[in-house]
Amino acid sequence: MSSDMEELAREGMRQVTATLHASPDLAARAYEQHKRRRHAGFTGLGVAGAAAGTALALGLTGVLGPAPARSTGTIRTLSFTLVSNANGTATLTINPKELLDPTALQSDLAQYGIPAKVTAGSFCTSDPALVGFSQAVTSNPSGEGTGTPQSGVQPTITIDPSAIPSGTELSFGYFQLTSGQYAGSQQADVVLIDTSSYTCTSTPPDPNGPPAGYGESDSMSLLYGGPGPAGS
Amino acid sequence: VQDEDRKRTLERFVAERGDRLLRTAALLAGSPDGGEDLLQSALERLLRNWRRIDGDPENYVRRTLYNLAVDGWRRQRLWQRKAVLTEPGPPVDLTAAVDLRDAVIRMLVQLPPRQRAVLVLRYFEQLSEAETAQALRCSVGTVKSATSRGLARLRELTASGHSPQARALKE
Repeated sequence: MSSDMEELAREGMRQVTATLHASPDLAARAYEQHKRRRHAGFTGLGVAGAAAGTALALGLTGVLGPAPARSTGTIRTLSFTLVSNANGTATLTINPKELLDPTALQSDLAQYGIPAKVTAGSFCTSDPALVGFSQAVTSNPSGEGTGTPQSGVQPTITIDPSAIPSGTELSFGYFQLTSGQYAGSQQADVVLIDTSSYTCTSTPPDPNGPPAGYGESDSMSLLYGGPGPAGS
Repeated sequence: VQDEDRKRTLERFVAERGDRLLRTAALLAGSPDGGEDLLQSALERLLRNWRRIDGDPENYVRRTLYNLAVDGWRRQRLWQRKAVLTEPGPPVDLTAAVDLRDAVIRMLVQLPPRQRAVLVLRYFEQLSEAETAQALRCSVGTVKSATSRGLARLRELTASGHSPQARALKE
């Protein structure tokens, strides 16, 4: 019957995993993840409340005091990896095969001193639009993921928290596109917003151009996980 | 102090059993990196429920791996269905595979999640059908049919290749 395939599966699984070894810092990472989760739980707030509290604290800190303490190292979750770089920036890599967890991303960005409002199914912008985005956020490589679905590519951006002006934060809007030209893709749009003045919409921005009022260099649209350009 | 003790205990646990757990996690997740993420999440659950765990913590971590993987897959189901429709991906090139065992693993990743989990538990973890059913909280009949379909699909994918080994397998 299938005994040949059973044996191949058995041997194949054994062989391809034989050289795998758990990272030396795996336990430490799990412990840090646990501490972060527990800390969020101890605030006595729900998830939404905790997130709002974080955003408020970050907003006030930007105006009144020094930047919040920053963690260092790497945060890995199923849907993204966040690495703190030696120069104070942080590099975010999105796993295109996972649905993005907005609460975890917002919380983990805050760990690295990056004020952000991460929303799923909506996107927030300020009017008038804010400038200075291109100093705070760059994509790796430049231009990757903008305007064209990137099949199989892991969108990667680098964020410099020191370049995010006081009183502002990143707005990170995430959408699963279910209709239109890019149905089946995921879209993430990023701009700077005024922490005290912004509006949100549930309509995904057109990935081929900046959101209304924003300039080309003042926004970023990552379109990924989709079918890719025709003929590619 | 209690936290530090717990951290040290976890480090010892990972040092002793981490490799073995990672191998299962990598197969369940479909990649070494995904396996590390999955295992890290399972270890975090272990810390969270430390006081309530009876017996060998490895059993708890293994169950959590399966549960997290299934939960993740359930959450991703809609996206995966879209991905299948919009992104079939390149055909498996068996001629480029180092050998047929590598090819089988590459095709294992293409199986639907539950079929993949069943094959991992049956042929990597060496669990019986009843134990697999218990681990995945499904019936033995479901395990049997998923095993049969999974193996058939592997055979089909393998035999559609062009390597001499694949052709030999097809015969």
